[in-house]
Amino acid sequence: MSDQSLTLPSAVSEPQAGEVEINLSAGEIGQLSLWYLIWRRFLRNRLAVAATFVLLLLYLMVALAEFITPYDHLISNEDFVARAPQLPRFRDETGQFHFRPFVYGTTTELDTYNLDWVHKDDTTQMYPLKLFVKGAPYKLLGLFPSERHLYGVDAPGTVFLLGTDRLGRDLFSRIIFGGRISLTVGLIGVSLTILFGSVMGTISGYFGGPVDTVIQRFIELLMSFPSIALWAALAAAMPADITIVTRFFLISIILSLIGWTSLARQVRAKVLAFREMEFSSAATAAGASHFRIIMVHMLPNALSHIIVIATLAIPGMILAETALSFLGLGILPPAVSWGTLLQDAQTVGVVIKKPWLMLPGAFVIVSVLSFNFLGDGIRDAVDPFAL
Amino acid sequence: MADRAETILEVRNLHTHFHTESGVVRALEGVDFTLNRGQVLGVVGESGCGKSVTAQCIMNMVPSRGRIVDGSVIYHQRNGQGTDAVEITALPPKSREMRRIRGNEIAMIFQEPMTSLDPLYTVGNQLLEAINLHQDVDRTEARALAVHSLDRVQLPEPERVFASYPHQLSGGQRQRVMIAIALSCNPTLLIADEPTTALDVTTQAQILSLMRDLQDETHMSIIFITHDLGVVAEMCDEVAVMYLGKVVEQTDIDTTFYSPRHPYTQALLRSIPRLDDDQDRRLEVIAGSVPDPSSIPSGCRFHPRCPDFMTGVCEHREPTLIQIDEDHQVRCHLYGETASSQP
Amino acid sequence: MTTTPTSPSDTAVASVESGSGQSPLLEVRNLKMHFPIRKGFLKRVVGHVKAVDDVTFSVERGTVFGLVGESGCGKSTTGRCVIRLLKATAGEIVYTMPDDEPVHIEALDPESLRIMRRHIQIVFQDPYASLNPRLTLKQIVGEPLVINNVSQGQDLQDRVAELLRRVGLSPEHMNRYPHAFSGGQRQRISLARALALNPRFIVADEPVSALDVSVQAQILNLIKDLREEFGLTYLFIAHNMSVIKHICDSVAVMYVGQIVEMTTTRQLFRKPLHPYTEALLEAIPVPDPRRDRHRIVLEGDVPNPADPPSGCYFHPRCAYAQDVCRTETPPLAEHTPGHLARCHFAAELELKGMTI
Ligand SMILES: Nc1ncnc2c1ncn2[C@@H]1O[C@H](COP(=O)(O)OP(=O)(O)O)[C@@H](O)[C@H]1O
Ligand SMILES: Nc1ncnc2c1ncn2[C@@H]1O[C@H](COP(=O)(O)OP(=O)(O)O)[C@@H](O)[C@H]1O
Ligand code: SF4
Ligand code: SF4
Ligand SMILES: [Mg+2]
Ligand SMILES: [Mg+2]
Repeated sequence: MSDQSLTLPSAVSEPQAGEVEINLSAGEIGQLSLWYLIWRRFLRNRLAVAATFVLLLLYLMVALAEFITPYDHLISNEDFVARAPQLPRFRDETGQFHFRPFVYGTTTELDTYNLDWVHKDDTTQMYPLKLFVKGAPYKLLGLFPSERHLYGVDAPGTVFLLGTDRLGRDLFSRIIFGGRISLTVGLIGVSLTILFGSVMGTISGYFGGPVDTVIQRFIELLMSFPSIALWAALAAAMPADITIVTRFFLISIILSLIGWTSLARQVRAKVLAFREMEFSSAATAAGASHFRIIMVHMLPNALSHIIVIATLAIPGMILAETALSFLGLGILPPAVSWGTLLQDAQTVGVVIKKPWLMLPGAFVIVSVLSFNFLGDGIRDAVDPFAL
Repeated sequence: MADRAETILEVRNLHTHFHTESGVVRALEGVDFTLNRGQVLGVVGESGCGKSVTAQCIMNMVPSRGRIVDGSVIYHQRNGQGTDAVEITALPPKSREMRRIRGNEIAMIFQEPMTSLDPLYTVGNQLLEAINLHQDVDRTEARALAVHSLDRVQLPEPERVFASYPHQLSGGQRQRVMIAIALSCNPTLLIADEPTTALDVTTQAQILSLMRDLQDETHMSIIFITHDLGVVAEMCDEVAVMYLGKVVEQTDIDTTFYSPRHPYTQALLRSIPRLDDDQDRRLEVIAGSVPDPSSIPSGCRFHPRCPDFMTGVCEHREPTLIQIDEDHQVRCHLYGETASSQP
Repeated sequence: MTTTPTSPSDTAVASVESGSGQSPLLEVRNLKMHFPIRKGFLKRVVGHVKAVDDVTFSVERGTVFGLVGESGCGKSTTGRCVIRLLKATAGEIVYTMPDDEPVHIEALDPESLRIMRRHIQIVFQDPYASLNPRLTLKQIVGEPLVINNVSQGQDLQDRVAELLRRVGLSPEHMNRYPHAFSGGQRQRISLARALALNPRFIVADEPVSALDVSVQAQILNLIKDLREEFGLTYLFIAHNMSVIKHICDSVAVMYVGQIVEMTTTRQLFRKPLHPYTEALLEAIPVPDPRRDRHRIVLEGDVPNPADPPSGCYFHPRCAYAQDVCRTETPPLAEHTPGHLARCHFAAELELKGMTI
C-alpha cells in the first residue's frame, strides 16, 4: 500500500517567502519538531520579534550596567541638584555644525522667588562626548576589572543624559541600575511561579481525588484575597533589618505567591485533558510509570502554555514591584528600582517643574508592553499546534 | 414530485480559494451541479473535498479569508407566473436581497447541533427570534407557531422543549430543533451539511425519516451533504460525487449505485463494508489517501490512486465534465473520445 | 519476532459456548464499572453512572470478539477495564497466559501488571489524540520497547523499522513527527505501537470510526492480516454494524451498560433474538437505492445510565414491550446453544434479521 501523501496543518504546508525563507519538501517538514515550527511562526510576527529585541537590549544594558553608565548611581553631587537632561547636540549657538556631538556646561543661579537652584546650559562651555572613557573602576559582571565606561566627557564637564535627581545623581545611571532589580524581580518571581504552578497543577490534575480538592480549595482561598492588599501587608510585615539581597528575594517570593495560583489552575486543566488523551492511556498500557507519563507526555505538551502564561505574568510582577516600591513597601533606598525612582515624582510640583524625574516610568511602560507583545506573539505561534 | 424539468439551483464551474497566512488553499476548483425543484441532491465525498465550502458558497456565507474566484451559483426563484434567475454569487453577502433569500428561500442545518445553538438561550428564544425575523406576527401567534414547529419535527412534549436550554436536550433532539428553526421560514431549498454524522445509527434513522416525511409534506428541495453512501442511498434522488474540490460525477441515484462511470465513484462503492458481504471477502481499497490540498496532483487529481489510470494522458491533461447521457456527467478521460465535452 | 503461529483455519471458528476444550484467552465475569457522580463543595457522591453493569463474556483464542452498541453504552469502559486502564468496581477479568496459567487482571499488583501489559495492548479511535505530537515515530513506536527494557540503540531502530514496514509505512519516516501523517497513516502507527511488545491480545476501540471510507477499508484489511500473521486475538469495539459484520467472529450487543444479546456474528445477523438488535440492524443505512426506504424507526433516546428505566432497560423504546417488561428485569438467558439474549420474549418473537 502506498500511503505516500502527507497531510500537514495548513499553517505549515506552504512555506511562505518572507523573513524566513525556507523551502522544504513536505517530507522535510515532517522531520521538523513542533518547537521548530512554532519558532518559524513566531518569527513571522514582527511586533513580537521587535519586542524581543527591545527586551534583549534592556537586559543587556542592566547586565552591563557598570560599563554602560557614566557615573556611580549612588554618589550625590550638590552642584548639580535636579539638573535637567543634557541633550547631546551637533549644532552650537552660532549655528556651526560639529561632527562629534557635545554637551554644554552648567551655570547655576538661585531662584530667589522659589528659593531653588536653577541650572541652565552654559553655552560658552562645550564638552564633546567621548566613547570608552576612563572613569570609576568596577568589575564587569562581577568578574573583569575595568575603568572604561561606554561614554562620558572630560572633566570638569558632566553628561547627565536624562538629568539628575534631587541629590544630583545621574538619572540614567540610576535607571539602569534600578532596572537590574525591577527587571530581575519579574524573572525570579516568574521562575518561582512556574515552579510552584506546574508542580502543584500537575499533582492536582494527575492524581486528582482528595489531593486535588485540598489544593483547589487552597488556591481559591489565596485567590480570594485582593492581591495588592495582600502584597502590601506581607511586604509591610517584613523585618526592617534584613539585607537588600534578602529583601529582594522575599519580594520576589511575595509576588509569585499569588501568581502561581492561576498558572496551577491552567496546568491542572491541561493535565486533566492530557490524562484523558489517548496517548497517555497508550503509554500506561505499555507499562509506563507515572513519572514517565508526566515527564514525557504531559509536561512537554503543557510547556508551550506554561511559557505563554509565564511571559504574560512578568509585566504584572514588574508593575507590582514598582507599585510596592513606590509606596515604600518594596525595595528600600539606598537600593534602587524603578519604583523607588518614581517616588521622587510623587508630587504635582515635581511633575510640572522636573518632568524628567518621571522617565523611569517610561522604562516601566516599554518593558511591560514588550513582555505583553512577546507573550502574545508566543501564544499566536503556539496556538495552531496546541493540544 | 414536482416537474422534473424545472431547475431550482445551478452551480457552475465554482472556484473558491482561501488566502491563509501560509498560502492559498484551493478548496473548490470546479464544482458543477444542477438541482431540480422538489428533489433531494446528495453531495458526497471524503473529508476535506470541499462539501462544506460548497454549501457556504450557495448561502453566500464564505468565511472572510475565502473568495469565490470563478463560477456562479444561480437560484431560480418562483414568482407569480414563472421564475426569476438570481445570481447569488453576484450579490453582496450582507445585502438586503441576500438576507431575504437566506431567510425566506434557502435555509441550512449543520453537522454539530450543539455549536449552532446558543447555549445561553432557551430553544424557545431562538425559535422565536427566527420566526420574528422573517414573519410579521404578534407574540402569541409567534409562540403558537414555534410550538407547532417543534411538534412538526416530532419532538415529544414541545412545550417542555420550548422552555429548555440546548444542553438539556439529547443530540437527536437538538438536531430536530435545528430543523425546526430552519423550517420556521418555510424555505424552498434546504441545505443539510452532514446533519446526521454526529449521531448514533438509531438517531440517524429517526432524523432521516423525519427529513423524508417533511420533504414529502412540503416538496422542498434539499441538498444533502454527507460522506456516507448508505445515507445517500436512503435519502437522495440525484448524486454529485466530489473529489478534491471538483465534482467528478453527477447522475441519478440508481445510476450512481448500479452503473457508476467515474473510477473514483466505482472504487468508493467497492470499498464500503456491506452487510450482505461474504465474511472472508477482503475489502477492495483505494490505494493511498486523499492528497493534501497544498500538493494537488497534476492532470486528473485522482490519477495517483486511479485503477484505470492511462499513462501519458491522465497525469497531463485535466479532464472536463463530460455529458455522457441525458442526466449523467463525468469528469474522466475514459469518456473523452466518445462524447462531446462541455464548455 | 517470535509468535506462536496459528493457522487461520482452525482459529477462525467462533464459539461462545466453551465446548472447544481449550480455555478461552480472556474471560470477563460480572464486570461492573460504576462512576461516582460528585456534587457540591466537598464533592460528595450523589449517585453512580452504571457505565458497565454486570457484563460477562469470553474471547476464544485467535478470534475477533465484537462489542457493538450506541455511544455511551459502555463499550470503551469495558475495553479499558479489560486492560486495567480503569480499575473495575467489581467482577473478574481472567486472562490465560501462554503456559495456560489463568491470571486475574483485576487483582494484579503494579509489578505483575507491568509484566501483564506486554500481552495485552490497545488501539484507540481518535487518530489525532492517540499520538503524542512532541515525539517522533521512532519514539512513539519504540516507547513500549524502551519502557520494558526490551531493546535500545541499533536494535531498537531495527525493530521499529520492521514494525513500520509491517503496518505498511516506510521505515524512512521514522524520524518524522505525527503531524506529517494523515488519519489512516496515524492508525497504522498506533497499530505498530500496539504490536511492539508482541502481544497476543489487542483491544481495538473503534479503530476505524474516525476514518474516511476508503481508508477505513485499508485499516480493516490490515487488522485482518495482522491477526493471521501474529495469531492475534481481538476485542473489537465498534458502533457500525457493517464493520462488525466484516471482521468479527462473535458479537455482544450492549445497551445501557449491559449485554443484551451475544452469539456468533452469523447467527446474530441472521436471527437476532433481542428487539434492540433488530432495531440496530434496521437502522443501518444500506448503500442500495433500490431497497425500500420506509422502514420502522426506533423511537426515543438512549436512557441516562445514571438513571435507567425500571424493568427491561429497553422497554420505553421497544415495539414488543408488555406490562411485565416495565416491572421485571429480564435475565441474559441462553435461548439456543451459544445464543444469549436479555428479553422476556426472546423465545416467542419472530424478529427480522438480514438474509445472508
Ligand atoms: N475557513 C477556511 N480557511 C482555510 N481553509 C479552509 C477553510 N474552510 C475550508 N478550508 C479548506 O477547504 C477544503 C475543503 O473543506 P470542507 O469544505 O470543509 O471539506 P468537507 O468536504 O469535509 O466539508 C479543506 O482543504 C479545508 O482545509
Ligand atoms: N471517567 C468517567 N467518569 C464518569 N463517567 C464516565 C467516565 N467514562 C465514561 N463515563 C460514562 O460511562 C458511560 C459509558 O461510556 P463509554 O464506555 O465511553 O461508552 P461507549 O464507548 O460505548 O461510547 C457514558 O455514560 C459515560 O458518560
Ligand atoms: S481521468 Fe484518468 S486518472 Fe482520472 S479518473 Fe479518469 S481514468 Fe482515472
Ligand atoms: S423484555 Fe420486553 S421490553 Fe425488553 S426487549 Fe424484550 S420485549 Fe422489549
Ligand atoms: Mg464538512
Ligand atoms: Mg467509546
